[in-house]
Parts: sequence; structure tokens; C-alpha cells
Amino acid sequence: MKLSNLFKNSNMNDNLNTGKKYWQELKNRNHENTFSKVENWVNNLNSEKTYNFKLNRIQNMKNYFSINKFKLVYSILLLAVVFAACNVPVTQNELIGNAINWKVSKQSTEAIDRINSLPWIDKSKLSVVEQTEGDKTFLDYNLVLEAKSQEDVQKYMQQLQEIKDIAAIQIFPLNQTTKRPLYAAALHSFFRVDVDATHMSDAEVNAELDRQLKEAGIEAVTIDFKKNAQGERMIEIHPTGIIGMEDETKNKDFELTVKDGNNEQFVKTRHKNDASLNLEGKTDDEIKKAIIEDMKKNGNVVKPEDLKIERDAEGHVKVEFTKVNDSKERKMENKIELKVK
Amino acid sequence: MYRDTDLFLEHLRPHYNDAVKYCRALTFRISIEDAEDLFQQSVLKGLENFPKLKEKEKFKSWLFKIITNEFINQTRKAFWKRFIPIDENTNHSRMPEIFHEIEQTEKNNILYHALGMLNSKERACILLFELADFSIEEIKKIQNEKSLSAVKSRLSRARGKLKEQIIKLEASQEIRYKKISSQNLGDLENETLKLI
Repeated sequence: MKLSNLFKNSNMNDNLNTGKKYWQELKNRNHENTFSKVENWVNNLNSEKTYNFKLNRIQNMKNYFSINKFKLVYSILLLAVVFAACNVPVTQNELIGNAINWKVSKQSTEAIDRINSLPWIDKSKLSVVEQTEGDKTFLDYNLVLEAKSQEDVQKYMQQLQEIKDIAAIQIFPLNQTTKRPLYAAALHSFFRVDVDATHMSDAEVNAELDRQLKEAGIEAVTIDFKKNAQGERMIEIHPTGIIGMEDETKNKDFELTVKDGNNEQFVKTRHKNDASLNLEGKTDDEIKKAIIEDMKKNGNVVKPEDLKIERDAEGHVKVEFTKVNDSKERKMENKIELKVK
Repeated sequence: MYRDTDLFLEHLRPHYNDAVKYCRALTFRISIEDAEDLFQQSVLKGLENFPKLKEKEKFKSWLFKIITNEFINQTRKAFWKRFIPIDENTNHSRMPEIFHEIEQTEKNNILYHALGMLNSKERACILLFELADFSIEEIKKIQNEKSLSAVKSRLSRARGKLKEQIIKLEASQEIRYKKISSQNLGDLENETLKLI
């Protein structure tokens, strides 16, 4: 097939004729007199002693590096720039909370009572200042809301707006400026620690975990060693001090995987504050129900019997969820611990 | 060590003329050395892979596919070539100069210059069709295209552009010719006056 009918009928015939003489001229040229040169060259290729077409891999690599030395230099420079860029401290603005400000007339006792009855107002973070404008006296409220989602803040604001006599409600975001290397900034909200404890003694495992966790800025973890019925070592990792820690670095989400022979323990911590999961004054059953609901939102199906609840003297509630997958080759324990007040 | 060298040369001989012209026309805008490099690399690659070619009757399209792919590779490598001081082909002897012997006529120069204005795929496509007499189906395979319509439209585009370029080049040559003629006439007049 030379040309289809469609192609033949197109206006290309015009173009075809324009260059016809040139194509004919080119076609008529004859270079066959040079074929003998090429023929000799090809025949000589086989007799050349120095010529080895099938170079070994190392030789090929050497040749490649010597030929592409500029490419290599550029690649190394590029990597160095990327490495340097990752270590350059970057300034991050972090939203650490919001402040809500509103005013209410001192005479409006009903509004003041309703404000006082709002469950989300933490008295320790609330300041009330009396102000006089002309003959009217106002109470100026300032409340700091730490680590609340924008959705929560809007909800609280809506509740305030529903109260009569409250005027000039304002929200101020509270930002904190921090400097950290780029890679650390990227990893700031999440850390992963992996340890292979197969041939390690208890002390070595303890030291290794301690080192890796400290490097990741996580200190609030305790490690216990127990033996199971088969006499195998079981490493138990308990995140502690999750809520209300003064040091921010102790309050991070992290995943920790410890492999010990056929056993593997996986610990994933999640931090909940009292706004998103308020367990204060609730019974164990109510807590379980709330946790199940909360975990369901995150795609985890949890049964009430999987949850273990412990309470300490200070009123902290520790919820432990353990799921054990036992197969012939490997025993895997997934544990999620929540500590809430 | 190459096997079947004689057989390869036997197959190459009938298509040698077209292959040489194809290489030169593809690289006309670059340099004669590039045409030589292209032809040499294609022959070496062909020689190496010739035993793998099962259907020897398809030698022509196979060879032109090698040349086309080498040309595309050469175009892609053009950037890095500026930075590489070492000749990549130092591990074997250079092919004898064959392209320096090719004498360009005025008409061929116009066609080569016009072809140089096309992009590499269009140039290869029109040369395969007009010079090497390949069918659209064969060009589709050589250029690794999925559809015939892609080749047809490329060919049509190439023809349009080529026509435009040839007309421009012919016009500019005519002007140059007229200038030279009038200059020569003027010189003749001066010479005559001097003699008188």
C-alpha cells in the first residue's frame, strides 16, 4: 500500500509536485562507488586485534564513567544541593491554638450563667476583666483554646453567638514560630521506629529502643520483658504520659515495630485530647462505647472485649487495645494505646 | 568477532545507496561527521544484530529502522555531546570518509536545506517515503507508531512544510542570482568604458 485513497485525494498532490524534481535529483544520485570502502572497513573490523565488541561489564562501566564524567559531576552536585537544602533550617509557623474574646454586660446575669455552664470552657485558661464604658460595665472574656480543630472553634463560637447580650466575639489564632531542618519539618508530626531484636539481649534491646526513640524525640515510653507460655521473650512497649505533657516532643504520634525472632510487636500511638474524646466522669462501658465509635471513624473495627481500661490515682484513663494475629510463621501483636484524662 | 559479515554485506549492497543518502539527508543541518557517525553506528549495530534477524527479506526495513532509531538517539544525545570531550567510538577504527566525496548539487542543497527545517520525525518520515520508497504501513513500523493515520498526518505536515521551505529558498536564490547578474553587467560596462 503506497497511499490510501483519502490521502491521494487530499491537497497533498500540490505539495507532491513542488518537490518532485528535487526528489528525483536526489534519487538519481549514486554513491555505490564508496561501497567498497565500507566493505573493506567492515571486513577489517574482525581482524582488528584491539577491537573487542563484547567488553566485559567492568570495562563497560569504566568507559561509561569516563565518558559521562560531567553527568556524574552534575549528579553529585545535585545530590549535594538536595542534601544541603534538606539540612537548611526552615521556619515553620505552627498553629498552637486559638484565643476567643467576647464581651458581655455585667448586668446580664442570665448570659453570664450560661457562659459559666459551657462545658468546654477551661477556667484555668480563662481571664475575665471588668471594663467600664460610659455608664455601662462590661465583662471582657479571653479564653485560650489549645490544640482545637477549626471545626470545634467554630462550634464554640456558634454556641456563644446563641447567647443573648454577648457582643464582639473575636477569634485570634495563636501561632508559634519554630526552626528545624527541612527533613525534620517534614517528619515533625510523625515518627517511625524499627528495631530488630532477634539476636539482642534484654539490656541491648532496651538501650537500642531508648536510643532510637530519643533520637526521634520520644521519651515517654516504658519497655517490659516477659516470657510467654512457650518460654519465648515478649517485649512490651507502653507509651506513657501521652496527654498533658509539658514537653511538646513527648506528645507525638509514632509507630514502633520490634521484631524478635518469630514475634513482632507493633505499637501505634494516637493522642486524643479531652475535646475530641471527652471521657471525664464516664463509666468503663461508656468509655468503651466512645472509643469504639472513635476508632470506627478511623477505619478500625474494635470489639468491647478487645479494650482494656485502667485508671490511675490522678484520674487518668488508659485504654489499651490489643489484637494478636497468630500464624505458624509469625505472631504479630498490634497494640494501640490511648491515654486520656 | 562478527559472524555472517559477508552475508550482511551482501544484504547491505542493494540498499547501501539509499541508506547513505538517508543518513546524509537526516543530518544535513548538523555536519558531515554526524552523518558518518550515524551511518557507522547503524552499520555496527546492524552487524551485531544481523544473526538475530530471522526474516532476511525484511533487511531493508530492519536497517532503516536501526538508522532511524540511531538518529533519534543522536538527536537526544546532542545536549550531552557538548560536554563530553572523549570520542565515544575510540574502541574501534573509524569508518573511511564516504560523505566528503558526496558532491552537493544546487538542487540537492535546496532540498536538504528545506528538509533541515522539519523536525526529526517529520524529516525521517518523508525521507522514508520519498527516498527509500517505503509504504505507510512500513513507515508505521519503522517509526514505532500505533496508527497509520499518525504517519499519514505526519507525512502530510512534512510535505506542506517542505513545499513552503522550497518556495522560500527558490525565491531567495533567484534574488541572489539576479543581484550577481546585475553586478556582473555593471562590471562589464566599467571595463568597456575604461577600454574606450
